[in-house]
Amino acid sequence: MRILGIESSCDETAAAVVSHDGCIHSDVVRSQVSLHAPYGGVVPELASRDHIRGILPVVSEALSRAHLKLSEIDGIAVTCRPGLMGALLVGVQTAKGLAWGANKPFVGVDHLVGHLLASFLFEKDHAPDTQATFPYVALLASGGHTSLYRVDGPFPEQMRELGGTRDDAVGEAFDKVAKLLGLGYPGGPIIDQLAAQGNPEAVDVPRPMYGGKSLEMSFSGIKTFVASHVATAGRPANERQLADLCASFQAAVIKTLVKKTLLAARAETIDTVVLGGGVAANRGLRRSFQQACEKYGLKLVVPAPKRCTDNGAMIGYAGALELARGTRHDFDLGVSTHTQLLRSTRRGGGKRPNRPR
Amino acid sequence: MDERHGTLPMQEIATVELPTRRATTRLGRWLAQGVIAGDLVVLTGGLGAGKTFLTRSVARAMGVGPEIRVTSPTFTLVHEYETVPRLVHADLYRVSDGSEVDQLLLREMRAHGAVLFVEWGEPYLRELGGDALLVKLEMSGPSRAATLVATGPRARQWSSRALPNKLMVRADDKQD
Repeated sequence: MRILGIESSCDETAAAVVSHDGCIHSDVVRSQVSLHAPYGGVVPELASRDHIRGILPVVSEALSRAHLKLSEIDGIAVTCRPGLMGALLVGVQTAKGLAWGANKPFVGVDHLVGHLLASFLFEKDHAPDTQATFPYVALLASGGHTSLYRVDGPFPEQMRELGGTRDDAVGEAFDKVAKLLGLGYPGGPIIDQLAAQGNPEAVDVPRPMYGGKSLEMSFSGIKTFVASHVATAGRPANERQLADLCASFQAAVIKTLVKKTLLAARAETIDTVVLGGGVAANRGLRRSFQQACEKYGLKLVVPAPKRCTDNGAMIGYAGALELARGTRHDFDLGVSTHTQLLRSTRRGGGKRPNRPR
Repeated sequence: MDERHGTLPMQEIATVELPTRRATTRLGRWLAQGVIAGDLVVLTGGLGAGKTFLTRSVARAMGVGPEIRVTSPTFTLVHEYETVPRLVHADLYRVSDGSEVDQLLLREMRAHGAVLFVEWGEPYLRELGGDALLVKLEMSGPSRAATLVATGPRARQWSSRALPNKLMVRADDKQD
């Protein structure tokens, strides 16, 4: 079963063809095609949210790279939540048009479900190295999201959020701290690189909401700490000080993420941890997670960086599984700015998923 | 198109000292009690000045429960909350020109009765429909201050409301 997946929830316009076993036949993200080639595909400019202009070329490119015609596809999956209303509508209406014209089944997919399943994707001819097995605890950390999930299976009703940031997402904290320190964009890789040369104990960076058993997190205060640190002590005078400040900041953030993730795994008695989201590309973060998971006997699965950021393949895969179990959406499918995943806290607050049918 | 912005001079309403989180929360409650459908509040101030925090206190005062997170929209751009009137929290930090603001449909949401709180929105007052209450947050050391400025006739009406008078510092101002 080969499914066309379409993603347009925020900045990237993306399309991909994937099979229901997770094999990727093609994967096109608009910020990486010729238009953005001069930037090396690194900077997903906001202008790429100009989805209307990009979506059809991206879909055609995905089909042609998979050597398929639209008529040879078995179904269409599209992100229908959460995201920007206008951006989501472009993808959803395109999917409806294609599905109607080619007479194919189509299904709307929650963007976060796609991210949570990204570790099952693999390139054609490249068998997956380590695959996650259900159930697992997943940390999604990106510019817009930072949350922990329990994933019992591949469908939305088998996933729930255990905790997350109360204010800024981790990627956002990295970018803003980089900006405060006069470093470039995107901030994550730059800080990661500098941090590798610095002393993580040089500056005493606070770790808000670190203690206790709560799985909630906060990163806004760390950013504000760096702002006031720069305001009082000035920008770091030399490379050494800059590297030390970056290392201290990064260590504070990573310690919080590792601690909360391990706490979630222990609380849920789950021994597999999956990372996702753009921040999972951070080398310091990967190393800390590897060490911590080794120490506590947990299995760690980290997808390739391009599977961590927004892409069409994860949407196609999540949609393929939905189509395989018979889910079909009608042409009146709407979009929503909110996720369908439920959230429940350790203290028992929040909604609970319905018990399995 | 509404061109009121620019035809009236900016009017400074007041400057409020915000030495504590509680003081900022009080200002948020005051804003929440005063907003009417279609209002535009634009928040300015550097990174860490408290724009998201202030908007969160507005959201809480408008009835967004503690189980719903009010997080920074820097990357996600627009967050909506089911309040009456509807609260829309936007962040134009990553936006580089007015046509991108148009794509976010913020002016349309406002026309449909939403209340807009926009971070980093000062360069795009026209695209947002003008007539804004500017809340300029400044950070000096651990303390903050907010200067309220009206850029249109509706926003000027804020000056007729009594400012929150209990902006006293409590030594043990705890985190919530």
